[in-house]
Amino acid sequence: MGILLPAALALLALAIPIIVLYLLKVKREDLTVSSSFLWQRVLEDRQANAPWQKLQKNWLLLLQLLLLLLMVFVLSRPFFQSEAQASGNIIVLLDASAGMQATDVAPSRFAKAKSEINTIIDQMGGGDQMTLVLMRAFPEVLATSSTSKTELKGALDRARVTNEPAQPKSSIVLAAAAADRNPGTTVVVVSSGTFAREEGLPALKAKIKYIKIGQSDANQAISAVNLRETGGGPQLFVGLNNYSTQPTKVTLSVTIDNKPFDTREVSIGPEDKASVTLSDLPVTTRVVDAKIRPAAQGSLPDYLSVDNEAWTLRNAGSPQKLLLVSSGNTFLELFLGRLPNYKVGKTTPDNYETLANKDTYDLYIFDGYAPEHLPPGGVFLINPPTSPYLPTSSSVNTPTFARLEQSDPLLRYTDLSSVFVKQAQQYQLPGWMKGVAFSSEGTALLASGDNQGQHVVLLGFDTHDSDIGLSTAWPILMINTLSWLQPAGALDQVTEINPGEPISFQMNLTDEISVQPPGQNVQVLKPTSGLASFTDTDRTGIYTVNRKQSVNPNTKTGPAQDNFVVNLYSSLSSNIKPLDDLGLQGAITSPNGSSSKSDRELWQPIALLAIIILMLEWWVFYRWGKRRRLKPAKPLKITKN
Amino acid sequence: MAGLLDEEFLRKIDRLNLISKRVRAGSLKGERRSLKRGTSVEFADYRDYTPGDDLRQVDWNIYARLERVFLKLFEEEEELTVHVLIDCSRSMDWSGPSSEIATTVENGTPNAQYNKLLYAKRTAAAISYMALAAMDRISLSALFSGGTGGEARLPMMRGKNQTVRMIRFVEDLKPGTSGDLNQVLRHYAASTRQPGLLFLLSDLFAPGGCFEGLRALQGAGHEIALLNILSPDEVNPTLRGDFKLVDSETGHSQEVSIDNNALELYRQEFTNWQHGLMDFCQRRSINFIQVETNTSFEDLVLHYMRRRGLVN
Repeated sequence: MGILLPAALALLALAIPIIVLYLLKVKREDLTVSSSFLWQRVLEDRQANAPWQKLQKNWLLLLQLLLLLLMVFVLSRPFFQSEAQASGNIIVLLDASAGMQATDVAPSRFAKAKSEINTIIDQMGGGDQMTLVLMRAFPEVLATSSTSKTELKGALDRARVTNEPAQPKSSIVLAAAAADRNPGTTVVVVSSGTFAREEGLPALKAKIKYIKIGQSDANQAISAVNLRETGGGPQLFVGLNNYSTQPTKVTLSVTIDNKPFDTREVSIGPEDKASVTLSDLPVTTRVVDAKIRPAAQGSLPDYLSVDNEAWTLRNAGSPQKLLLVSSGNTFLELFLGRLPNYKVGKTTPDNYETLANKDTYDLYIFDGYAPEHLPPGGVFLINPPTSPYLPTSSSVNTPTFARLEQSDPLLRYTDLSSVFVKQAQQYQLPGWMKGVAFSSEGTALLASGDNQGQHVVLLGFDTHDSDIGLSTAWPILMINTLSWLQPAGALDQVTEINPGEPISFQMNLTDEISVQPPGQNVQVLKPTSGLASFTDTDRTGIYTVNRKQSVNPNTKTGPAQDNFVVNLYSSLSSNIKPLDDLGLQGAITSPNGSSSKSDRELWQPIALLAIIILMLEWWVFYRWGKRRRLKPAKPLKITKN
Repeated sequence: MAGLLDEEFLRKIDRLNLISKRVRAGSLKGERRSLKRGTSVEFADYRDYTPGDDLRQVDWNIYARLERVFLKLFEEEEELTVHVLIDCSRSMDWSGPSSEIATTVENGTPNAQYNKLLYAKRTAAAISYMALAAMDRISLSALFSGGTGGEARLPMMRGKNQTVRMIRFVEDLKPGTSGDLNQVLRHYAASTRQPGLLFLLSDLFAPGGCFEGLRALQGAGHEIALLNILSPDEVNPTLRGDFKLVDSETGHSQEVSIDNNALELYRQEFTNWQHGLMDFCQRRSINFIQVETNTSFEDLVLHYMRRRGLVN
């Protein structure tokens, strides 16, 4: 207990004039009574009161002295030192990642974290200020340098935990910048600390107080759900992780298109992975939903539920119409014959120009042929002859794939370096095309381009003059090519994102795209500069996207519906084992559990008490003044002896 | 006369008689029926003759009829002596608080009609008139009267024709000083030769009390009726505040802060004083009436005094 302004106590001397004012003789009215005979004893008592006893019984004086005492006390700014987690300028980083939903502490880690922050707010002294930041992919500042406990508690109350994977970098950068501006800042991190496992975190030069939330590591998660096409139909791969140091068993349930497909128990070793591959899935498989739950026996508890379910989609969108214009290509026909979700039409170059509905296809593959005009839709040109839009200059013999743009979507998961090519054409690529794979001489053997929304891929050699059709890279290259050429459906390639990750759609001003999150209402998106972004992706599950497109001469598509899924695949969030030490770089770390002293000023309750005393004094004065008045005389009282 | 008693009131009390439990023998035969047997024309009773009785009172008709000698007894008529003592001390000249505050606040204005001395004078005049009308002997005395504060006494008188004299005496009474009430009463007891029904009209605000004087009066054979006349503000004072309290009798002043506690103390003191008076009067068979001046004067005479057996 102490006072910040001792000089204010000198104001207590004001009590002297107050008392003197009461001691001063008041101008008394003469009150003549018939006889002081009966007043005598009363007067004796009253005389004994003067002057000090009179002061003692004067409520107004006592109240005024008490009021003065309280006001001087307030002005002297009394405080007492209390134990506090932090003091001064405080930045609180509240982890809102999915891992904070773990229920190993009741009711949840996030609720516990809020409770801890509430305690810090309660312990704040008069000179303390707090900035409250919610750690998300994009840090959310709930309160900035606030000294108001009410405001801070209100902001804290609004904080909600997310399904987002832990992405601490931007929050730490923000805290570091704020700490730089205010030396001596204490950064309080309220988290299970799992985010600190991420490598390459920025340095945080501040005094860090880490409040560890959580106590258990018992969690199992689905780490991957993937579909792949095989000759026998789609195949499902489910990856499982046990983050506990104890072995456990989980029950995996797979539902395909809302019908139960498989349920099995899977044993997973301590801190180990397990995978399940399911074949013979229905050819019509569209939506796969995989769930895990602790097995009936031999299982550990699973404290985090958000990573226990994942979804995947197969060939989003309606079947594509593909036209193969070729004089005959075994490799292409074999591949297309097994390609699901495509309606393949075939014709020869001679018949193409006269084909009645030649413009109704989504995709075109021209093998050794170049149409007069490119049809609307995606176009894959294989060794086309010279044409106005793609003239050839010369041919190259036995070129080798020397330079590959591996980051290009066409070359994803492929390796063309060992492919043999006997002869290739050298094309003069238009400005909207770029090479993807080049020969050692710089000839573009594979090129792609976007001509006003129309995708075009060029393979610069005849497949029959190469062993590409026999290589393992061929089907992958074809799938990549068809995926890229696929006319823009509701989705632009992306079908799976993390919670909280934005997803954007290309659209014209006349288009209308709406998204329906799982279990929620449809949200219509507003385009900005040809792009529409959807950011409300915190929920895991299947999102439905509807696009009403205007007729585009190049893409000629109408209404389209598609889906994308939001899955939490984050080992940072799923590994809920709390860390004892964050180990952040540059930190002036205070030992865990140690606390600082905070000066908590007491002026507010005292000021409140002073106001109450002031009101009481007014009331006493009012009552006293009222009683000075004469009351009406009582009725006659006749006494009998 | 109209100043104290109006004609209508006089007509009301004209036929009222003062009642004494013990009618006192006066030197003259009065008009008041006595318990004694005497010489009036009103037959009272018979009794056996005993030697020495006046033979003129023997009822010879009875003797002729019964051959036994009976004496015929007649009622005796005596006169009643009434003493009226009016306390004229300065404390009696009181109508209410004289403070500036008291005169400005509601109901605080002193009302001259509530003056205790005036009330006592009117009561004394009414009692005296009733006595004169009943051919009783009346003696009027003013205690502490006039500038000297001595006793002013109207000589004993009788008959209704003395009414004007009596009224004039009462009207002329002025408040005097204060003094020792016991001493004055003792002096009165010693100086009166004919005891009778004695009315003492006073506020009894006497530092030395009045018990000794009352005892002396009773010792002298007086039957006492004590009318304690008080102002309402003396019974239940309501003023609060810081005052210089001035005693109207002594002029002595004292600064005092009157608050609820002080008022409560006063009421307690008053109750004790009142109980002391009542106990004393009850023990001594003194008819005690305490009356506040806001009580109608006519009610006091016509109802309360009648109810208390002082008039009929």
